[in-house]
Parts: sequence; structure tokens; C-alpha cells
Amino acid sequence: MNSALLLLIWLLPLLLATLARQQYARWLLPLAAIPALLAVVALPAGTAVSLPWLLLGSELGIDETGRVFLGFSSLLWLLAAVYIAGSPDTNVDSGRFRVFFLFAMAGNLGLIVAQDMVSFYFGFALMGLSAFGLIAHSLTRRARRAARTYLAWTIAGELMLFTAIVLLATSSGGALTFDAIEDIPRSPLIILLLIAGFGIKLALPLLHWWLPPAYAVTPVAAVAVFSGVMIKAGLLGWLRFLPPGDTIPAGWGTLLILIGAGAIFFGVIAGLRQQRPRLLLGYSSISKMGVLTSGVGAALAFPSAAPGIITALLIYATHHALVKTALFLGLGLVERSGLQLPLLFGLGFLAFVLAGAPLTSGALAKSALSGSLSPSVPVLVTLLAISTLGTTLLMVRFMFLLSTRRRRKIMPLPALPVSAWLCLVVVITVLPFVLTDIDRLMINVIPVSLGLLLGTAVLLLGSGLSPYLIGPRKRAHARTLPLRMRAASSHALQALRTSNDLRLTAWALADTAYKRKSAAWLTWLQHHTDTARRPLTGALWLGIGGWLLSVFISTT
Amino acid sequence: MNFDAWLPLLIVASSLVPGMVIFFLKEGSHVTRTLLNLAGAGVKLILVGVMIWGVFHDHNYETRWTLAPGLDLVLRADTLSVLFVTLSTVLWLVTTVYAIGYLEHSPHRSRFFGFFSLCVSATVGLALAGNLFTFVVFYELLTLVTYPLVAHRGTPDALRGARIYLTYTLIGGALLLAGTVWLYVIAGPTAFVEGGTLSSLPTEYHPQLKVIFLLLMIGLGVKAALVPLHGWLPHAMVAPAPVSALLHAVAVVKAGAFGIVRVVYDVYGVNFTDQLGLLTGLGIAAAITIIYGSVKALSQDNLKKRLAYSTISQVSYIALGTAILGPVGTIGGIVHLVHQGIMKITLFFTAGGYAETLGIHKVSEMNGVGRRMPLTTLAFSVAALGMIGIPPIAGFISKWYLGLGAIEAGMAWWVIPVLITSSLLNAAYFLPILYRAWFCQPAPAWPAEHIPAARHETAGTLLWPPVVTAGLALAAGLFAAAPYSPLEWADLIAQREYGL
Repeated sequence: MNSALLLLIWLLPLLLATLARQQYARWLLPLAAIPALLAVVALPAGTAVSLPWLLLGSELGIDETGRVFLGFSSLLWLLAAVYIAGSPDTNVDSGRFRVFFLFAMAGNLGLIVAQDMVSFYFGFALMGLSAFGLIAHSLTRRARRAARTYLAWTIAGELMLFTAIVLLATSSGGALTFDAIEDIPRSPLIILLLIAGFGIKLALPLLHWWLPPAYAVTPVAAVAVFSGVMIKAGLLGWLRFLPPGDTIPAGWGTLLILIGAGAIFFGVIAGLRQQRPRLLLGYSSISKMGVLTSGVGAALAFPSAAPGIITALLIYATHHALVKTALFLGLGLVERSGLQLPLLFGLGFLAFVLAGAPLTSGALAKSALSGSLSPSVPVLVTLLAISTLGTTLLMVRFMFLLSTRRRRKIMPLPALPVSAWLCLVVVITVLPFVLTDIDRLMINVIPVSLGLLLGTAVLLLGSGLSPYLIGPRKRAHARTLPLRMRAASSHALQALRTSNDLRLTAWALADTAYKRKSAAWLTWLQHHTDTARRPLTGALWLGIGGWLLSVFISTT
Repeated sequence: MNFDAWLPLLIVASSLVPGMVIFFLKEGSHVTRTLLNLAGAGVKLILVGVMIWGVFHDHNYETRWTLAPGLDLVLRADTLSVLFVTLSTVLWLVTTVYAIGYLEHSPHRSRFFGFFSLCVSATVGLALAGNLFTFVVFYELLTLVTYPLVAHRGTPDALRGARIYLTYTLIGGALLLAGTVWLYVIAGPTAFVEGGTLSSLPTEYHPQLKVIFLLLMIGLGVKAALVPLHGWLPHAMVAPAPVSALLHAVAVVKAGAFGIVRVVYDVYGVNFTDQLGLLTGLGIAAAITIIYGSVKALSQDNLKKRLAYSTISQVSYIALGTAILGPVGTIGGIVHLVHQGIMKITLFFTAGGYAETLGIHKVSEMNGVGRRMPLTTLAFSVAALGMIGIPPIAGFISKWYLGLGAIEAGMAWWVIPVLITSSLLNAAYFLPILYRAWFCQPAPAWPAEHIPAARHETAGTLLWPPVVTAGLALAAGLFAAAPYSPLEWADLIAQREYGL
């Protein structure tokens, strides 16, 4: 029974992929993630099944780490699948998209339950290659180029991983399970290959070039899964292949800490310069992966503190996965249906959570990580605080970018995707209270408020000073921030009325009414909130980033 | 004589006799011809099954025919020959079905199937050869009976390609014969014995043995398409697809590779070859071939030519595995014999399927073919991914063992980069084809749609063989650690070779 369930976790998506081109197959997508969810609930940690006839002798199983990964992965794949199932079909071949989605799901879930190197590699390769189909889905020239770049990087990473696995298997005398390789001393070449191979997946700086083009062109449900779940395969790879202990010299841990710190700053600074919300979220992922990298480095450098650090890393990874996926799914809803009040509030809340506001899972994650790191690596606690500040700035810019989008037609919200998204938001809200008590969650007040202050200050300064320093700009499109919000609230009041025409009429009425009332003030604000194109604001963001960096360096 | 002595001969005869009969059939007697073909293939399969069972139960199958004192024609079943015979038989059955469908309306089918059957007889004969003399006899027979197959179409191109093929292989055969004769003069009749028989010769013969090895390798390397002896292969692509499939997967190229394996393991002995310092040279030649074949494949637009260069590259993996000292490398080389055969035959079947159904001969014409012929393209994709080395398809298993073996033998510093580069190059010339097939919009009209889409995308005899072999490739990789897999077989061979 257990073994059947473990097999079904990755076998069911593969089998369903054969049916995926049919019309009804959209409802099969959520079905594919059900065995994994069942396994999280029903199977105790330590369940293992040995399949000596599969590949080169496979071991599947769920240990503590795998349980956590499987938990958030299966939930997120399920919700993303529901999102896709409820989305209207575009004219692009959605059957093919579903096939690759299911293959990626199979690979991802497969590598989580893999307990030996070859099965892990199988899942990793399957997931990496299927993502190509997701990125190239829209077949535009940009999509093709992004997919090609991604493929080249992924294949390079997989080949590095293959080399490392072969080298490890030689040292272990042919034994392939993670238990067997745990005590083998790893040569510098192996460690380097593993760091680079998984680093490509985690989008470490200098290995991240595939990420921005890919995130820009992929359909949003796939990006949500990329950023939330698939990127974490790199983390799982490090946890499996580089166990803290005597096998790895502590110098590598320090190197990872430094790389992670670099990633944090790089992600924040590059993210602040983005004009598209998707890319901003992508760079935010790079920054958060930097936090995880530093954590892994700390665990390697201080093996005695490793168990606590790894537990905290798992909490952090869970938090990030859930919130990032929710952000992307919400962003997808905005891209399709326009910015509406429930979406605005929901995304605002999620932005707070990601930044680590008190009483949210972000606070929980940060407090767990700080707690585990403070005895051994106090400098990382400072780094975490700065990361929180940086993320807050990113989220302020994110909300700003959302609000100042070019106005598109407001469409009705599709029921199923919105319910999936709301479900996720509820889980995110409730999660910290389930896991711990309120006292531990009342942290992060200072970094978050500081970030908020700085963010708003930059926005206002950037928009206010610009005309004096650079000169007045031509009137841009109507970037009606307050107008939007007021129209959106009247719009929400009318939401009970089902007719689309009524909504649009109400919008038009609100539009003209408010415009008449506050023409002068509004036009001034419209003119000056066009900061997305303002070089001065960008410079201010960069300046703040540089200041943060110097603060950090001077305190350590 | 008892049954044990007849069985190897019967296996050879099971395709020889139908072949001889088919020559005399009238062109229009489709049913008889098909019946003879399939009956021969079926009988051979059963006999091979009996042989496998017998070898596992320690029967000793040997047919010996003394031509002259000291000159015996020996057909014997040991583990390596059983491996190759099984591969040949299974793939011959599938290819026969395919060829029946492929040559549906072609002329001279009796002639074709006659030589086709003779070709398989020759292959099986050299697989079962028990000494070097028998091997050379069947090797030359193979050359002679494959010439008409290459020239089948009769066009000037086909004749030219066949002439080039004949030139190369006859010269190679002459060198092989020279080496064999010289070896007989020095060492007497060289039977194939696991671990080799030549290590017992006194040291003053060693320089001669090195030269003989070189002669043998050149003679075998022509068929095995080692660089720079590979020139005939791209020209031989003018042959009909079943011929290309058989040639590349089973008969000619594999025979060359099989010969290399036999000479190194069962004539010289791998340890002795290493002592003579010849193993490294073989490895380097193999490595150069691997990279050269892949690089040339990148620039080919003709699908079959691209696959031809891919064959040149992939068959050298077998030579590379032979050159890696140690059981693990041996396993990698021998198991790749089987895996590459299955994957390559799938690729050629699908290439022929595209040509026959839609008139597609070039990669640039393959846009959107995945929608029109999904099962065929799925088979192609599975085989292509296997060639690149993606698990769980069989090619991954071979690369794994080759890599592992190289590290254990201390040769990793140049073998692993060769493997990785080859994988990258394979990806570079296979993945764009897959992208075109699955993601691109088809052109308004196919080059020449001979077979319109009916219930299935193409004729059954063109569709199911590649699907079956793709399934075999997947199974060979997925269940590699299961009992009775090719991997386990190769393991057994390696154990016997190293005396473990």
C-alpha cells in the first residue's frame, strides 16, 4: 500500500500525461497531485520502499525533509493545476502545455521522494526538460529565445550533476542511496560541480541569466510553480548531496554564505530596477534563494548547529514557496482581469507576508532562521534583517508597479482560479498560528516599518524632485492611482450585480464624476506618479541599496 | 550428432534457407514471400530462445566443421554470442515487418528479401563464430551480401554509394584477413576464449602481435566506422530505410564493433592488450570518432545523414568501453551494443516512416510533424532523448557505466569530458529536431504525402516497429536492474571475461 502510493506520486502525472491532449484533460490536472497530498498526510516519515528492478536499483521514501518539501510542493501543484483548469483556453495548444505541466510535476514530485542518486537525477532531468515546453509555450520569438537559453543552462546543470553523481558513485563503490554516500569525503571537484549544478537551478548570481527572460514569457501558472516549487529542487539537492558533517570542509560553507549574501543584495538591487512586476518577483526569488544559500552555507560551516539551521531553512522554504506562488497567481489574475479591489488587498497582504511583517509566516520564517543562526553566525542575523528591509522595499515597488499599470479592461474574475488563490491565501494566513504562538511572531517591526518609510519616501521624492532636477516630462498616459482605487471600490460595491455592462457603466460614471471633481489635483498626481519611467527614482533605489550594503559591511 | 551440435547451424540456416528460396520466387508472390520471411524470423526467434535457456543451464552448443587440418569452421554459443544473436534476431523480426511495409510498391522485392535474409544469416554466423577464422569468413560474406542491398534502388547515386561501400569494406576485409593469417602463423588456430589465448606467447612475438592488432583493428574499424575509416557510411545512406536500419543497428556497423570486442576480449585478452599498450590507442581513436561524428552531425540537414554521423559517434562508445580497463567499463561497452542497436533502429525506422508517409528527407521539412504523426514522433523523441543520455532511457545506463568505469580505471580525466561533450553535441543536434517536430507549425503542404492519414497516422507496418523498439529502449533503461535485462547479461559477460 505504502509502496503503491509512493510510486503513484510520480507515476500518476506521467500516466495522465498520455491523456492530457484531450479536451476533458484540464480536470485531470488537479487529480495528478492528489497522491502526493495523500502521501504527506497518510505516510509516516521514514516510509521507504526499495525497487531493485527500477533504473539501477531505486529507493523511494519520505523522510522528514522530504515530508516538508512534498507537503508544500503537492499543495502548490494542486492549486496551480486548479488555476489552470479554471482558466479559459487561449488559442495556443493547451493540450501540449498540460503534457509538459504533468511531466514537470512528475519530475518534481519524483525527485522529492527519491532516496537514491539516480532516481533523483531522473526526476531532476525530467523536471528541467519539461519546463522547456512550459517556457516555449506561446511560441513567440522571445519565448523561443528564452526557452533556448533556459535549456542550455539546464542541460549544463544536469551534466554537471551527472558528473558529480558518477564521481560519488565511484567513491561509494557503486552504492547509490543518499544514506550510503553520506559519509564519503567529497573532493573539491565534486563539491564545485554540485554547487554549480544546483546553483543554476537556484539562480545564483552569474548563473541566473536564464531566469528573467523565462519568467517574462511563461504563462503565469507555470511561473508560479517555477518560482515557488521547482526552484527549491536546488535546495533539496544541496541538502541531500552535501550533508553537513566531516565530509565537507568548512571553507565551502563560508563560500556559500558569501555567495548567498551576494545573491541577497543582487536580487534586491536588480529587482528594484525592474519595470515589470513579474521580473521584480523573479529577482525577489533570487534574493530569497540567497538567504537559503547562506543558511546552507552556515549549516556546512558549523555542522554542530546544522539540524536546527536545516529545520529553520525548511520553514523558510515553505513560507517562500507558498507566498511566492500566491503572489504570482494573484499577479496572473491581475494580468488577466485587471486590478480589482480584492486582488489589490490580497496582493498587498501577500506582499506584507513576503516582507516578513509581524504576525505573518514571513516573521515566523525569519525568527526561526535568526534563532538557529544567532549562536554560530551572528553576522547572518544582520544579513537577514537587511534582507527583510530589502524585501520590504521590493514589495513597496511591486505594489506601486501594480497600481500604475496601464489601465486595461476590467474583466470578471474567473471563479476557479480565484478560489484556488484565496485558498492559498488562507493557508498562508493561518500557517504561522498553527505552527507557533503569537509571541514569536511579533518581530521584524523595525525593518519592515523602516522599509515602508524608505519606500514611500523614495516614491514621493522621486516623483516630487524629478521635474526640478530633470525637467518636466510630457504628459504620460492617464496613470490614475487614486482614481483607480476609488473607481475600484465603487466597482467592488457593484460586484454583486452580475451584468458586465452594469459594471462598465458604473466605472464610466465613477470615472467622469471623479475626474470632474478633482481634476487639478489628480492631473498633478497622475503626472508625478509616473515614476516607473523616472531615472531619479531608480537612482534613489540604487542609492539606498548601496547604503544598506555599506551598513552591513561596516557592522561586520 | 546430437541437437546441441546442430543448434547453431540451425539458427544460421533459419534465415539462409528462406533467403535462398525467396530468390527464386516470382515478383508477384507477396504472400509466399511474406510467409517465408516471417516464418524464418519466427523459427529463428524460437531457436534462439532455446539456446538462451540452454546456455543458462550449461549446455554446450557447438558446431564444428573441419575444412582442413587446423582449420575449423566453428559455430559456438557463449554469453557474448548469445547477446548479439538475440539482438540480431529480435531486431530482424521487427525490421522484416517494417521492410514489408516500406517496400510495398517497390520493384525487385524478391531480390531484396533474398539478400536481406542472407545478410541476417551472415550476421548471425559471425555472432556465433567460435574462432577468428569463422568470424572472418562470415564477415566477408556480410560484405558481399550487403552490397546488393545498398545498391538496391539502382540509381546512379545508389550504385556509387554501394561502390564506395564495397571499396572500403573489401580493403578492410583484406587487412583483416592478412592479420588473421599472420596470427594463425604465429599462434595457431585462435579460438575465442574468455580472457584471450595470446598472453601465453613468448615476448619476442609482442612486436608482431602489436602490428597484427593494428591490422585487425583497421579491418574491423572500417565496418565499425572508426575515424578515418568511416567514409563509406554517409554515402551508404542511399539505401532504403530498412537497410540503413539494419546496417546501422545490427548488421554491418555492429559487426565491426562486435569484432573489436571479440578481438580485445576473447583473442588477446583485455589485460594483455593493456600490457601491450594498445588499449589507450583504441580509446583515443574511439574518443576522436565520438567527437568527430557528433560535430559533423550538427551540420547535416538530411535526416538520414545526420543519423549516420550519429551512428559513427555512438558505435564508438562500444570501442571506448572496450578500451576502458575493468569490468565496469566492459559492461558499459557491451551493454551499449544492445542499447545503441535498439535506439538507432528506432531512429531509422521513424526516418523511413517520415520519408514514406510524407516525403520528408530533411530536418528542415520536419516542422510540425509531431501533430501529423504523433506516435512515430514520440518514438523518435524517446530514442533521441536516449541518445543524449537522459534517464530513464537506455542510453543513460550505458553512459553511467562508461563514466563509472573510466573513473575506476583512472582514465576519467579524458573520458568524462568526452562523454559530457558528446552528450552536449547530441543534445545540440537532436533537440532542435524535437523542437521542430513538436512546437513548430507545419508548412502548408508536406513534400509528398504518399500515405494519407486514415485511422492511424501511417501504415501499420511502418508505425508499429518503431513504437515497439522505442518501448524496448525505454524498458531496457527503466528495468535495467531487473533480472534478464541487457545490463545483467553484460554484467555476466564481464564477470566471465575478468574471471570474477
